[in-house]
Amino acid sequence: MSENLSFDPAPIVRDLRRINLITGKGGVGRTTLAATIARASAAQGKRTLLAEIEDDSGWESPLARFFGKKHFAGEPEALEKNLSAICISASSGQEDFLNSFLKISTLTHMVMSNQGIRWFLDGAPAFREMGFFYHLLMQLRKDYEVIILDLPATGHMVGLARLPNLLLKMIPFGPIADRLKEGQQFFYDKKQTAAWIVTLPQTLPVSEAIELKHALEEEQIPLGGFLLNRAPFNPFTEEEGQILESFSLKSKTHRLMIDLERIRRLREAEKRLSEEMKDHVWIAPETFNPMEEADFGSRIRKLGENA
Amino acid sequence: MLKEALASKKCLIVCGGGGVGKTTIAASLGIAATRLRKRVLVVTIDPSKRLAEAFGFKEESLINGGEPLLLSAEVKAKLGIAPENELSVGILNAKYVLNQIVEQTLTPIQQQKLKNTVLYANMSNMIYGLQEYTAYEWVTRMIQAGKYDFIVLDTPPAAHAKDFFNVPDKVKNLMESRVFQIFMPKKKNWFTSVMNFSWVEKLLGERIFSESRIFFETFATLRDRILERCEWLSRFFTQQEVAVVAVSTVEPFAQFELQGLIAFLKQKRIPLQSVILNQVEVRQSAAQDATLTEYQEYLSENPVLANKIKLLHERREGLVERAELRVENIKKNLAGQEMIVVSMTYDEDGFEILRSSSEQIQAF
Repeated sequence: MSENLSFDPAPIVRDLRRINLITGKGGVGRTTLAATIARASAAQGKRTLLAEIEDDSGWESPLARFFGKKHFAGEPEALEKNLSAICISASSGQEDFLNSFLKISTLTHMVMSNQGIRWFLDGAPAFREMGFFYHLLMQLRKDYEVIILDLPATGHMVGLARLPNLLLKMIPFGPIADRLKEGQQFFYDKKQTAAWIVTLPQTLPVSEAIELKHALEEEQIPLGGFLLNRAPFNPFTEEEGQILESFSLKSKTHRLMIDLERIRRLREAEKRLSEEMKDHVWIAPETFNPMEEADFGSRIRKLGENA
Repeated sequence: MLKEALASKKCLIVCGGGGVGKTTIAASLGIAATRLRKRVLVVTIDPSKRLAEAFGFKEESLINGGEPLLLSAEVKAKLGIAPENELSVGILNAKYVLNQIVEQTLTPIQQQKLKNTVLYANMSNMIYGLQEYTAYEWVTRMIQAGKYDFIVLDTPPAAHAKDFFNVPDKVKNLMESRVFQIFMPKKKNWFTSVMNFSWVEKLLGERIFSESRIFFETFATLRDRILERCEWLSRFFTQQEVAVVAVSTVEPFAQFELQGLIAFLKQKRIPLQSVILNQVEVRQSAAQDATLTEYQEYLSENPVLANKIKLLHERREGLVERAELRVENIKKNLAGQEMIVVSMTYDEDGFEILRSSSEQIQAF
C-alpha cells in the first residue's frame, strides 16, 4: 500500500486521466479544486492545460483570479512552469470551425463579423454549445498530458455530454458530423477521460452528486470519482465516535454537538459516496489558514488511504 | 429597512451566487412577509425538492403542475402565519411556460410543426436567453393577475442574474435584428436578397437548417407579444415598488460574486435594499460543557480522547474566528449598506431551517 512509498505530493495526480471534467453544483468549491489539481499536476512535471468555459456575463473569471488575472484568453497562455490556461468560448469555436471549412481566414472573418450571422449564431438553439464543443475539441487534439476543464454548472455538463448524440441525429453527415464523432471518441473513452464530481459533506449536496453521477452514466461519460470538499477535521476512530454519540448531547447550541454533527455528516457522506463508487472517493479537507490553503493540493486524499 | 420593504413593496428580487442558500432565503423572506401581509407568492427558479418538502408539498405537484400552490393551514400555524394570510409557492418550469406560450399563441398547425422538431424537444434550453425569458413571462403573468400583494422572486446564480436583468434588452435586440426580419412573414428587404443562406445550409446540413428556420419563424410571429412583455418588465424593475436583496456567504468566492453583483446593480441603477450574509458560523458557548457531568467524568479518565476533543474545539474556534473576521471586513467594505447575518444551522429538518432563518430576518 501507499505507506511504503516515498511521500507523494498530491496523490490525486496519479489518478487523473488525460481529460478531466470537473463538475458539480455551484458553491461546492469546484473552481478551487480545478485550480489546485491543475497546479499539482504541473508541479509533477506534466504538461497541463487548465480550461474554463466562457461566461458571457463579462465578469472577471474566479478561476483566472487564482493566477492573478482577470480573464483567460481564447488561446492557451502560459501561467507557470508546465501550466497553461485557456477560456473556451463559443465564438472562437465557431470561427475556428468556419476557418477549417472555408480555408480562407479573411473570408471567415468577414462572415463572422456580419451582424446578421452573429445574431444567428447567438440566437439559434445549440449553436453556442456547438461553438464551445469545437473550441474544446481543438484543445483536446493538442499534445497536453493533462487537461483540466472547470465546467460552470451541473446542467452544462450533462448538456455538453448529450450534445454530440443529439446533434448527430440532425446532422448525420458532413464536416460537422465528423467533428462531433471525433469529439465523442474523446469524451466517451475511459482510458482518456474522466468526470470528477465535486460535492460537500451534507445530505442534499451528496444526493445531488449521486444524481449527477447517474445522469453522466446515462450519457456514458466515464467517471473518475467524487471529490468530497471541505471535509471537517475528524480525529476520532470509529470506536471513539460511538462512545461520543452515546452521551446525550441534545442541545443544538452545545459546541460539541455541532462538531459531532459535522463529523456525523462527513461519515454519512463518505458512506453514501463509497456505496456509489467504491475506492473512488477523494477527501479535500476544510482549510483553516493560508498555510493549509497553499498546501491544499497535497491534502486531497483518497478515502481509505493514509496520509 | 428590509422590514419596511417586506411590508410595503410589491416585489422583492433575491440575487446571489451558487450554493449560498438563495432559495432558502427567498422562502424565508416570503414567510416573514406573510406575517405582515395578506397574499404573498414565492417564486423559485430551482426545482428544489427540499423546499417543497419543507413546505409540506409533494414535489411532483409543485414542479409538474407549474402553477403556485397554497401553504396548508397547519404549516402556516407552525410558521406563525395568521390563518387569514396566504402564502403561495411556485417553482418555475421553463418547459411548461414555453409550452403554454406556444399553445396560447400559435395555430395548431404551427404548434405541430414546432413540436416535431428535434430542437424543440431536446434543446429549447440551449436557446440563448429563452430560459430567462420564460421566467419573465411567468412572473409578468403572476404580477398582472393581481392575485398577490407581494412577490418574492428567486433568480438564477449571480452571473446569470445579470443575464436576468438584461433579458428585456437582449430579447429586444434579438427580435429587432435582421435575422428575425428575414423570417418575418411577408417582410422582404435588401438584406434578404443580398444575404444568401444557401451556403449556411450546405455547411450545416438540410435538417438543422430547416429546424432553425422553423424556430426563427415561430419566434418572429411572437415578436410583438415578446417585445411588449419586455417593455413592461423593464419599466417594472425600475419602479419604486421593487427591491433587490443580495444573498452571499462569507466565503471568498461568494464575496467575489457579491461584489460583481453589487457593481452591476449600481451600473443598471437598480437599488439594492439589503445584503444577507447566510450560513455564517457562530460561536457556541463552552459553558454548557460543564453541565454534562457524565461526559466530563468519562473524559477525565480518557486523556487521549479528551485531547482530541480539545483539538477539535480549537480548530472550530479557528473557523469561527475566521468567519467573524470576514463579516467584519465585509461590513467595512460595504459601509452604509444594510446587512443581515443569518447563522449556519446544523438542523437536518428543512422546515426548522426555514423557521430559523425567517425569524432571524424578522428579528433584525
